[in-house]
Amino acid sequence: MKKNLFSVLALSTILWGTSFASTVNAEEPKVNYAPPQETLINGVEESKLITPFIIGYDNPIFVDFVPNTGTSTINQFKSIGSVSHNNTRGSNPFPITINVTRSESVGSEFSGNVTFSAELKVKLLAKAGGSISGGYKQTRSTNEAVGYTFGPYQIPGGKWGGIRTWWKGVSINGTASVKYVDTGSSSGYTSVQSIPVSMKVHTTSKDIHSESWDATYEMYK
Amino acid sequence: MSLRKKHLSWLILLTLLLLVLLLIRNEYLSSHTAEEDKPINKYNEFNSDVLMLKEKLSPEGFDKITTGESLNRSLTSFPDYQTLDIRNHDGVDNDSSRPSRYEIFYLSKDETILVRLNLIYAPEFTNTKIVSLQSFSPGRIEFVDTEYQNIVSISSTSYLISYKNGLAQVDFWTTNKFPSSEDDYFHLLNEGEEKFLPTLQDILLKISNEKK
Repeated sequence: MKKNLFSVLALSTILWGTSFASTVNAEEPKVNYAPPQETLINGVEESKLITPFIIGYDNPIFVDFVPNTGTSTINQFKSIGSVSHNNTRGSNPFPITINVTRSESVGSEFSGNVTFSAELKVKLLAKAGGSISGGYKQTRSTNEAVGYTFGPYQIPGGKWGGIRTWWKGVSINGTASVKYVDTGSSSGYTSVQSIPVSMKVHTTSKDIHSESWDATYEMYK
Repeated sequence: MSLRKKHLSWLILLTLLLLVLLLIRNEYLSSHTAEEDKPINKYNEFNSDVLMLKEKLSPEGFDKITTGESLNRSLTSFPDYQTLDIRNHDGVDNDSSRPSRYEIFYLSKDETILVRLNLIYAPEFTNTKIVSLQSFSPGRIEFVDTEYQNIVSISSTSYLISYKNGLAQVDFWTTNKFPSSEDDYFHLLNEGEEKFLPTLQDILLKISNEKK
């Protein structure tokens, strides 16, 4: 009877997922960076990506981009990896570390009423990043975080804790000006259109945000 | 007589020589198969299969709701009082960088079924096989007194499937979005299983090299 009740409570807790009082610690686990790597898109270096002019609204031609003043940093932009350790039954602290042996390719996010062709993305990023050192880029390539280590972080006895890591990102809003190929017009192009654009992008420099956390298991609260 | 003795000694010598050759051959063969069967190789193979499965398993009607990338790793400390195992946590060989299982969650698009897929390292298994299939539900807890039949509020089905180097534990649970008007709990779960399992089964069979 007691056992049944236990499993019901256990399952319900997992399903509702609300019974955790989680504490994010101010202390960031130590990060050791690995040497940088070139980002490739379909085997071509990102900065050397060129696409021919093609007729149609799927192929906007970049004219200009005017970013709004001020950008904001997104700490938890794209996840690199997490470790967790359930030490609720343990009485001693348990040290955890992350050694990155594999990381995914993660892209930026673009939104606005325009088709974001590969060429347009590259040019928007180049223009947006003109004023900052290093600039922005669209993709973190596969394995870019390989060789990094995070931690160690001690999970106290009686707690459930872990380390979570993310690539930091930057949020940029602004107005893009584009035109399209128009064979009917004397100039060969449509008139220039202004389109509000939002981007969440990677910085070229490797910028990582990590957090450690631990929680008390309050199943019977 | 002496000739016979000579023959006999030659025969003994020859047998001994053959025996030595046989021993050398066996030693050579075992050292070569050991390379493949080394626990660390099996563990690496298990890990790359998990990554492949995580990438390829996207059953129709379900969303993968596990956050983060492929590196997510969870471990659990064993209670101090336990004497079942010499390890003090569930990492392989008590190594905290080698988790013994990976947990991936899926949710049906109508949010009525939660699936927890646990891929557990078990190098002793080589073939795919359903080890057990069990269910419980309000009013349908097997061999339990009637008065306790409605003690649970959710229905669950659990598959335990063996495959090469591992066990796949697949738990299907009805969520709190389960329609209250519905009393045929298994109907809904069975429908969900029918969408989820075939894609999983194809991948597990492929891992065990039983299907190309």
